[in-house]
Amino acid sequence: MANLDERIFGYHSCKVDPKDNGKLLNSLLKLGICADVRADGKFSLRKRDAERFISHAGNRLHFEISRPLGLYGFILRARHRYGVFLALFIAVVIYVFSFGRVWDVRVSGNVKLSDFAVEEALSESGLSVGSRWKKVDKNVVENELLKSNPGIAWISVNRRGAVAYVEVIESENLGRQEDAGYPFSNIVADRDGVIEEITVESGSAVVKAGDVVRKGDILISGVIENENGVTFCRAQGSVRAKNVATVTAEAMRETTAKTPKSKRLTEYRIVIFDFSINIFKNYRNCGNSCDIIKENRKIALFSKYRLPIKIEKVHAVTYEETSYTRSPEEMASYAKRELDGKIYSMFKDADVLKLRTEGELRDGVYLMTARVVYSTDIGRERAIEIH
Amino acid sequence: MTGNRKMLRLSTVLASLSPSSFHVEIKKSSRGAVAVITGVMSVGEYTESSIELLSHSGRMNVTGESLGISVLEGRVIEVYGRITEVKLSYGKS
Repeated sequence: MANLDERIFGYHSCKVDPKDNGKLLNSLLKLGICADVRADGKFSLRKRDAERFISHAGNRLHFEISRPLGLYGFILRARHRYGVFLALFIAVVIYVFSFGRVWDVRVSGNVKLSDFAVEEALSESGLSVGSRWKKVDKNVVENELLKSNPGIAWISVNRRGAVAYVEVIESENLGRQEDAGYPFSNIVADRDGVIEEITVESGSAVVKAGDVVRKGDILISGVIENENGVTFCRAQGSVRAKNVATVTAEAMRETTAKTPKSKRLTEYRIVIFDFSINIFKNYRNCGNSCDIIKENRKIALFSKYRLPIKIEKVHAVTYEETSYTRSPEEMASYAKRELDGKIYSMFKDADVLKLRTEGELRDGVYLMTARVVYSTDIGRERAIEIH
Repeated sequence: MTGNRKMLRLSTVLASLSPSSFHVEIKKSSRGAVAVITGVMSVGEYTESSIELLSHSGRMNVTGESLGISVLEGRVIEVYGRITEVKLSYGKS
């Protein structure tokens, strides 16, 4: 069994006839060569002792000797295989280049905010894939993120190995208006509605549940009357009211359909950490008649462990527009999709309580109407002007 | 090489003090036992079950199972394996 010294500086694996073990050992003793000799005649000889041993025992002893083994032997054998040395060099470069960098950012605890949104915000605060750990001050990142994102109430950045684990707790009032910073203010209704619930944090409630309010009515007043007179404060709280809205969407019978004509790769790059390597780029302009499709593919091991390598592809897709006549079913389906999209964007911060949809085909147009009963926070802060 | 460095150094010192005699230190090891023997002039017989070592003034017979030899510097030999008996005899015969 070769030891570490032999493995690094090279050794030969040798064998003699077991009958000649005595002769072999005597030669080794005489020469002062260290070797481990087994009873079956096998022994390993250090590269640096081999020449001395061969010149001394070559004529007296019959033995088999292997080519140089160990790291020295490997280098000797692979000295003309430049690819091996290139691969070793690349491995060393990758090691040096990637050492001390953030390999992945994993976000947890977010419900309303997407992982992408949190990662973008972290990137703006100085923590992204490829950042150097030495330059990342976790406290600064956390504070900046809290300052710039009112939707996040608490954040913690933890390092485990090369991965940044980010835990997030979102604010309860996500979607509410940003802090206006008025010294004295009222909360007024920004639309009509029937009050469902009112929560006052500061100020005095002017309305109660069940009251009908119009747009502009004061809901929570920042003017408080007491025994000593009148004092002003900044009204704070939330007022949820029920309201009804009508949303419409239409689908035309005659329409134009876009059919992809050709798809051309215009850019191809590999992003490792925060360095990008352009593999291919085509500067040819495709004009206004094409769509630019950007494709971002992150590479992961076992579809779980993301690597800090990203492949970015940009395609230019040209379309051909052809006129097309929709069937009534297709018109209804199209109008339904349009209506769903509108409802989602209009009431994403509200609770939809009731939804009634009607569709009608008239003069080649399919009109779909939805009556939405919803509940939302209608309070908006207005400053009190004191003269 | 399976020797304990500290042991080897001490053995070498002792061997240099009395070059005509054996000095043996035996310790337990994962392979059974390891005997570090100094002042070895030559090796007579070497099999898995028996080893004969010669010095200027006598001989040593080590018997056991799965025996092996490591040659170290300064005429020091390390015998390892399941050593059962170490026999020392004075004189050449």
